[in-house]
Amino acid sequence: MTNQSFAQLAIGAGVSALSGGLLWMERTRTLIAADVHLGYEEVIGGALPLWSAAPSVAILSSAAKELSALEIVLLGDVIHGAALSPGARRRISDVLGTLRTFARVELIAGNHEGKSRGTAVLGQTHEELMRDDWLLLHGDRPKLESRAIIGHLHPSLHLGGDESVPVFLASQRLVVVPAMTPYSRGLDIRSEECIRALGAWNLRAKDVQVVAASRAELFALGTLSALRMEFDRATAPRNRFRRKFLQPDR
Amino acid sequence: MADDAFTLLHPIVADWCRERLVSPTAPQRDALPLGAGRRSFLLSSPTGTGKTLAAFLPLMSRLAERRDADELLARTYGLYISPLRALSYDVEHNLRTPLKEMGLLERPTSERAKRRRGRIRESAVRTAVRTSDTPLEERRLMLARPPHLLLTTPESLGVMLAMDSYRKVLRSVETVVVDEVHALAGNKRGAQLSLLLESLEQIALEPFNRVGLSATASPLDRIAQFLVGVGRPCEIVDARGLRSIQLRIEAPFNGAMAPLATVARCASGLTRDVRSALVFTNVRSQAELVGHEMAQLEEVSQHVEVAEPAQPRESTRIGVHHSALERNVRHRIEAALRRGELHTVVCSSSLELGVDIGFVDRVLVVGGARGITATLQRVGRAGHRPGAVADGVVVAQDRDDIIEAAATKRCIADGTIEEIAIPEGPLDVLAQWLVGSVVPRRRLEVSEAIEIARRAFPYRNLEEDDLRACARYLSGHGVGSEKAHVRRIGYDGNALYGLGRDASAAFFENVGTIPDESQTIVRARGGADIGRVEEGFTNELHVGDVLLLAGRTFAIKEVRRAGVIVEPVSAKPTVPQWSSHLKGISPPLAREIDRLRCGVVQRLKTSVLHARRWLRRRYGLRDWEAEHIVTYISQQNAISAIPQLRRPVIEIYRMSGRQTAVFHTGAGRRINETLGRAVGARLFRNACVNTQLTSDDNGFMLTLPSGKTVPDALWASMLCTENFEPDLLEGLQSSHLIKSNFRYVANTGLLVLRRAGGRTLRRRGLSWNAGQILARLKNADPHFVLLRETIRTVTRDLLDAPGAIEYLKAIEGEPRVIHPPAASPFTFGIVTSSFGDSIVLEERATMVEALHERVLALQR
Repeated sequence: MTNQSFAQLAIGAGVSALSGGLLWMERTRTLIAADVHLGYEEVIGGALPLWSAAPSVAILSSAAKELSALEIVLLGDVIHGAALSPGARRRISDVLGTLRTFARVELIAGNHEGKSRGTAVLGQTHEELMRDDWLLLHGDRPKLESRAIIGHLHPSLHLGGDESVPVFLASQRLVVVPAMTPYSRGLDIRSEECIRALGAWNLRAKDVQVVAASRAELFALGTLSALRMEFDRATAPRNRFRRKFLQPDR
Repeated sequence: MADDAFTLLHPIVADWCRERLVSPTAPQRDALPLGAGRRSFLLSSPTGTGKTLAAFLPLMSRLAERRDADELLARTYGLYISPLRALSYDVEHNLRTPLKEMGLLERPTSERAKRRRGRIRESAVRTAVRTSDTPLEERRLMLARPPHLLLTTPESLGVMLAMDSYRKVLRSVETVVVDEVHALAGNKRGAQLSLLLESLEQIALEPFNRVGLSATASPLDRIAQFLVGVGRPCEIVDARGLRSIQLRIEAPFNGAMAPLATVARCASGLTRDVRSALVFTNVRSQAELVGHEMAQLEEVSQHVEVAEPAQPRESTRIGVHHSALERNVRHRIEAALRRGELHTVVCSSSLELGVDIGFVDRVLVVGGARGITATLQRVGRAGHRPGAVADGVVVAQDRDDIIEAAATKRCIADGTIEEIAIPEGPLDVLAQWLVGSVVPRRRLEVSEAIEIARRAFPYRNLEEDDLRACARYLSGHGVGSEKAHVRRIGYDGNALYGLGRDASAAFFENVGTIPDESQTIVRARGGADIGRVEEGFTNELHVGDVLLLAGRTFAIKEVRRAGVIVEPVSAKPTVPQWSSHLKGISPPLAREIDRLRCGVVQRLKTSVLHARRWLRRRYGLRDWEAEHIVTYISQQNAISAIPQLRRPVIEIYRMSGRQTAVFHTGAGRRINETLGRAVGARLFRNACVNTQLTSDDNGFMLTLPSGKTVPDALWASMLCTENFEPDLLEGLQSSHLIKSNFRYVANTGLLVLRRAGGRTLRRRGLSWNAGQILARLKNADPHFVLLRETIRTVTRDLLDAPGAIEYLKAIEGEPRVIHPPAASPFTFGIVTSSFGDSIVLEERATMVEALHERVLALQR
């Protein structure tokens, strides 16, 4: 349909990337988002409003409405930490309450939920869920037995300065969903750290497709290995002590 | 009678003075009567003229009187505040000796006796230091047996004044001594102190007198006002000219710049005929490099046999000292210098302030100190005793250094020194003070808070709305329309109040205004911590790189988030040092440099000899240095033009094919950086180009993207006063300066914490973008107090917007736009500094010489 405000692109068996950085499972009508990091503003010690909550809810609920989702799964790191004021806890409950008016909400615990798995703030959380033969989990500890959908890595493509764009990483066995929090610049997918992280899932750059997600559009960027080569060429090796001389201006 | 001043003191104090000091120094003669009369005064005199005793003798005398009258209670009577923890320990040591000899000091008692509470009437005086280093146990003891003389820092005073237990002890304070006032007056720590002293006034049983000590400070009347607050009298004891300083200039090069090895060789030579020497450099990396080179020269001269494989060793005669070294390393160096075990210590500005390092015979200033006060401070470290001539040598690295040193020398002779700018009411500091004033469960009416704050000099013009705006965000009203859930304090519109222990923890954990630069520890493999490097620098380090730290070379073995692991090696350093802020020259120095340049140009019209003679006469230069200056200026004049403060010169070049303009203003780094930002914004608006900015003391350089050019007329029109501040703000938008300073301001203003629950809250550099918080804030309320404070800090404290406007207003006519046939000599500095610290000094000298060759070729 052309009047859809969320762009869709199939990136794995039965799963599609949505613009805005969400993942959609058609068969079970499951909407997936990763790394929302609610309460970030407070966990960093801020006496600040929880600014990021409202936009996150807005994207999720409009997608859920538009696609008639049956369930919303948050893939871990739902909260940034458990050191939250009672007011912030209430606010986060309200956020989840709002989402529940659109669909069933299932929460997966991530590393930021800590040892208590976030239950004090979030109520019941899961370690993993199975949907349409995909294992849904946060992904801070690799599990190789089944194909999996994870968050945790905050994959993104760094453009100069502070700018970055969130990306999906997709292969036959693994889909990495970008972080929803606006506060994370994300892990640059061209970095060695990202390659190492994918290695832990037995993946190589040439087997990984990259899809960038803006708010309204999706861009298929090809394989990660091709992308890395492309960028390496663009940014020729810079000599640390490159000489610059002033020449006459003619 | 010479000891007249001593007769004002209690007999045992006076006797001690006559025996030990024989006669009072000039500042003591003037200050003792003031102190004895409990009047506030600011005492400005050089290091080593008995300032500290001048402040403390009247206090000791009163303590002795109290003891005689059996009125010495377990209370703090004298409070000493210094900007440096180390200084407090030194001063305590220097007070205990006289107190002991006077028989006033409490004798060391058994551990059990120490644990007993102080008596109501006491017979001997106790001293104590309370800083953030003081162990908990000692702090507890301090409450049970309050020290009569308490030495502390502004930050610790902030903590104490927020605690009921200490407030009781501090109520009897009679005298507050602020040491090194000049190091506090010009920054936010000083603003914090001024508010805290007003809080202390509130609880004091009777008004206390304030004594300020400063080696070199100007303007004295303003600093005195800062010291005592609004509407209180303050005497000024000005003994600044007391010590004579001898400043020589050495220029160890023939061409345009001295390579590092030559500088080190020159420094070695200049330290050989003395027993001890201090070598100051402007940045830490340079301290390391010079120290390293000097140590190697030392080894060669001693013909050290290297029988076994070269073991990297620490030089036994040469030490390196700077603020990035671990505290224990620094202390070891200081102690070794004091004991005379080290011959030479190479340092950054870290040894400029009064930490006790004993005597040194000579001070070398490598490259110039970029300031008159800084030069006086540094050279004042030599011949550390009253009356002795301080022997200082500037080792110039290039020709600008010679000019700067000559101008500095002239300024010192004229008695001209820089004026300290006292920050105008920093609101982040105010916010922290408000929280400190009500935690854990006190109440403060808004009207009263304003009244108290306005008595502090930096806040004399405080607006009620600003104070209320701070109260609003601190009390959880959030920013903009959305409310926050965290409340640091309560606020009901009329008063502020504390919310109990838990809410107050944030204050106690985050007190202070010193920016917390994220640093990474450098640690020897399986060994001790050696020093720190900035977190940003860590990202550029690779395993195998060789780094210079503490005067030794280390190979990097591992780079982890928690620290850099290194191993000592004997190798040439391969990586440049961490980035650091270079200091810039001040307006009075810039004016003298301008006078020198113009003077030479004018006299060159007559003859070279005439110019040289003038330099010798006015600046006391020797032929060699005068010759350098004359050559330098005539080269510049031949190839381009000599910029004057009122008539700037804009030179247009190509750099790697990109059009580059060098604005020669001569206004000093701070003003140049300010101008550069505004001009950048103007160029973007007028020609749709993004520019790259580099600035130094001589001017600033803007590089356009390749393929873009700007006509001369547009370049010339860039230096106008109209709309300057808005243009500057536009140029600063989303700049690193604003972002990093917002973080500090948000920390000080307790909007975002540094520490909570006993641990440091670190935003991991790579993945979390604190800039986003700033963006959100701007969106929610563009006039938010801390945003305004960030802009004030950046445009007033770091950059100099008022100075830039003043500079622009003084320009006469249009700037000259010139297309020189080769890089003009005045650009050498800025071209090489456009590399930042990513270029080793050695490389810099080679580059400058290559540029110089081209100029010489053109003249042939």
